[in-house]
Amino acid sequence: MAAAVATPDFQQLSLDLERQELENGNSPCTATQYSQLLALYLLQCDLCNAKFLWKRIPQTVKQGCAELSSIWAVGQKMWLKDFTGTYEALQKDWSEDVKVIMTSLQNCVRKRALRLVRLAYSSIGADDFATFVGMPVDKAIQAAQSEGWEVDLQNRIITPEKLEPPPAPTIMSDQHLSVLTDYVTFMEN
Amino acid sequence: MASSLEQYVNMVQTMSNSGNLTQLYDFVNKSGDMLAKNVSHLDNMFATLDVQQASLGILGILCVKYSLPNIPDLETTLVQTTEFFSKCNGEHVRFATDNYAELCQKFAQALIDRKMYARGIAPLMEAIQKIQLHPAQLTSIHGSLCQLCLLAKNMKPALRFLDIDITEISREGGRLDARDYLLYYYYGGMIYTALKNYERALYFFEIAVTTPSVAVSHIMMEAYKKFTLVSLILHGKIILLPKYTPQVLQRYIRPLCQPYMTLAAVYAHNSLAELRSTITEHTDVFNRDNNMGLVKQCLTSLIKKNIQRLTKTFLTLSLADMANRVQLSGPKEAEQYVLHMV
Repeated sequence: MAAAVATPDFQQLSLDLERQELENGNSPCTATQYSQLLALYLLQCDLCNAKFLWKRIPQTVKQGCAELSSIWAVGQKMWLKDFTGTYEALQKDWSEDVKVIMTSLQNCVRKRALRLVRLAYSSIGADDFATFVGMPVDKAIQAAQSEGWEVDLQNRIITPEKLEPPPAPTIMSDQHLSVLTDYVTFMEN
Repeated sequence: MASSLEQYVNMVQTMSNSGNLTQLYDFVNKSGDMLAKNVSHLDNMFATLDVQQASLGILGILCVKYSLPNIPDLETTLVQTTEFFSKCNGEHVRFATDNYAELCQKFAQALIDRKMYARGIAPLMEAIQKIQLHPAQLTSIHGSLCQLCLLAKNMKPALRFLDIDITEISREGGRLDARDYLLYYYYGGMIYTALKNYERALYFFEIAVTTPSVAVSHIMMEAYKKFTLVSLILHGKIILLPKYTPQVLQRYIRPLCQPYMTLAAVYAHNSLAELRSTITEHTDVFNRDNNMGLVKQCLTSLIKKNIQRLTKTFLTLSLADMANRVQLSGPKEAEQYVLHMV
């Protein structure tokens, strides 16, 4: 398990953990396995399954492992879409088992926040932006500048860059045409 | 007594080896009483018979065990059943689909009675895969699996089966009836609702509700209640049911779901205050039907619907104005809703 965490193949790890849980049937898994699976669900932004996992973890395991409750606290904030709360809850000393996952989670949340700001705001105050990305204001401004966004330092307004819509499909290549010809001749016969 | 058991074992082994599986199936059914009389020796027979070779024989023994009023030594029986599902010969058990389905149903019921839900999920998944002729075939085991998943609060395993559209129903020797069919779609709809996949949940509830019928089914009624709520959450109105919806729905079921009809009517008025008062008025009914969670989601969806309607009237609107029109507490809350809707 430790080796699997070192190389971030999170998808495979979560599948393995799920299978392990089913094989155990009624007997509970270890706290580490639950913690990892819960953290992985949060990373995949699968909040519904995270909530159900939390509900079915036995009370004894929850009480024995404080880290599990901390991970769920992050999940609760994510459910309420409370970015400030999420960053606060993420600021903990995580154990080796879940450290990699929680760091990836933090980056993931930050990216999602950036994307949301980009889509939703044509201009946003620097303080508000800082709460979205969970960084102190000057660092947030630096991040915005590195993204290539316009920053008006005097009024402290940031203008996010609109995402380009995905490029329209290119004109068909010969391969496409031959596949289509095959279909048409098949159906005409 | 022992000799008849020996005879049973011999017959099972000879017929399995020679491939007379239809005869073996008849023989096993007839031996039910004899096996029931020799309960104490049944476990010994597990040692003699090989699960792969003599699947039908073992199936017969397990069915008899579950049909006893007090199942002796349940733990061993559960373990034996689990092992049976993972090791049995699919070709053989297809000759005894009704016994197989009976076993699955009794197994699930035994687990539900003892609240050991999670234990049954993996065995039933294997059971379904063994007996299905192809992945799009419905069996009575599907409903039991969904029920266990809901009770165990572990939805993901059921998704593997729910995501495949059913094209055929296994008759199971005449055992499968409307109840199994309705339960599958009702529980399936509930699982999708829990995972917030409202589109697919609505589709499942619609199938349950449009099943041809002349009698009123409680399952159909519960499915109809959830159908209206999910329809409100997803589309903002109750979508029209297709023309082939049975008459019994209109005549008998709708009048029995009066609070839900009132809720839908009030929803159409787009007034948050009115909706809130209707909900408080019928709280008992909603709580009794365990639908309160969905009802609260209807409330949030009304707010979102109202915000979207504003786009039809205004090109730009200040957050404070929006908060006023949609009856929210203030511009900050309005900002939150709009952000969530992006």
